[in-house]
Amino acid sequence: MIAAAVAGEATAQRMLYDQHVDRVYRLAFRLAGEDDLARDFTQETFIRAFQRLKDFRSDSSFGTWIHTIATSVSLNGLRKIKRFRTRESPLDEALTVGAPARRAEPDLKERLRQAIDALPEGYRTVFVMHDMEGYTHEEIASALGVQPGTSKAQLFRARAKLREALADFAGEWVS
Amino acid sequence: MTDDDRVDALLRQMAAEEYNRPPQIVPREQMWDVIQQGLGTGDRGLGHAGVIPLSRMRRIPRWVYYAAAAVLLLAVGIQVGRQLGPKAPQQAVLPPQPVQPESLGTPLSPDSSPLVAPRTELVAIPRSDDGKGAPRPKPGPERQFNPNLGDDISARAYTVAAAQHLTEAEAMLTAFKGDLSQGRMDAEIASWGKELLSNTRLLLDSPAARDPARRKLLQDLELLLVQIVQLSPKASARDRDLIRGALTDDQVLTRLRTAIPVKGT
Repeated sequence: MIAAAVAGEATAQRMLYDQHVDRVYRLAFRLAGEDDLARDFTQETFIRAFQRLKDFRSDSSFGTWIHTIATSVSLNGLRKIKRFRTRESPLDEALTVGAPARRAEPDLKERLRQAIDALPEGYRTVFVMHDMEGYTHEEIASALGVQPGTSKAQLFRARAKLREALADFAGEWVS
Repeated sequence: MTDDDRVDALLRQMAAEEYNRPPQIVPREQMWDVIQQGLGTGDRGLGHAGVIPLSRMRRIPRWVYYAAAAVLLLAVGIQVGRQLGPKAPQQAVLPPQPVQPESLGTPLSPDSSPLVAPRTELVAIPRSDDGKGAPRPKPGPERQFNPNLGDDISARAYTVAAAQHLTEAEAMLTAFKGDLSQGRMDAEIASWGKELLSNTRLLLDSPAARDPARRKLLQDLELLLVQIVQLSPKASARDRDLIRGALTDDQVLTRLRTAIPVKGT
């Protein structure tokens, strides 16, 4: 199938797409948080994959390879958007940085969302992939180009940071 | 199982259910169409319904563009009027004085107490020429005490107009990007580009361009639109590559998307 796809056969490309698109889109959506961006990242992933398919070596699975592209595309895309948003943040937003106003306590879901968003990029990516989307440490390591041990360590630290960020809710959960 | 393990399990479950939860249905066909276009193997027919850029465009009704153009023109008109028109002399606010009701006819004696309590607002309102009739319907007192009110409204109008313009530009460039990848140039997109170019230039000359980041974005957009408008249907691959390069290198599309305020904020 890979050979047919490399030859530009649309049916083979479509079969590869059908096999992997759901998982790629889900990951992109988890990382991006919005449909438009998730679509853009997914499309970009498959376009790049099909254009570079001749460079694909079958010593790893196509799934692993396409997830390497997907994480790279998504993380790079998010970094660019974050840079622009930081640069173009309005003045009133900038003024609140470092002096958070005391507002009504957001509920647990909102706090969890904020805590995950606040994780360093590597921790967040590993947490999303492993704990939310069920990737193994080996798959994550291949996709991110790190050792499986690094993936495990980052997950451990991500969880610790989340527990710390949500410590005031922990008493209710454990009891 | 330790407390930490229990908390981790709960966090995991809650995060999986709540954090950036993907929709149940993956838009497979729409994404596939765009991928095909990106690879240059897609359906080259006009008005292909499944393409994301067109579906995105459809979300913005046509009347929004007309409304945006009207707001923009109105805002520019107001600003031009403010710049060119004669400046109204500042009215001095007199100190509060007791006001006697002239309409009663008989003047009150100097030692009698006024029937109406002194009010600053009443003193500030100019009276009719003959001194007998009712006060002229002139702007209310709050206008005199808030000289910046007009500027605030104008600034808000420009912000709205700029946001609408950027939304439209984003839709147009997304559609154009799709055309570019297919190697064709829709005539409607070209005329749309001309409209956008005029509005971009108007905005660049307006207070909307005072914000340096927005100004830079508008300048880059103007440059890109000039290239698009001048692109003929028979343009060479090199010309198309140049525009594609400008789109990618300056990241105009990404910057437009990030500059457009999120709905509901």
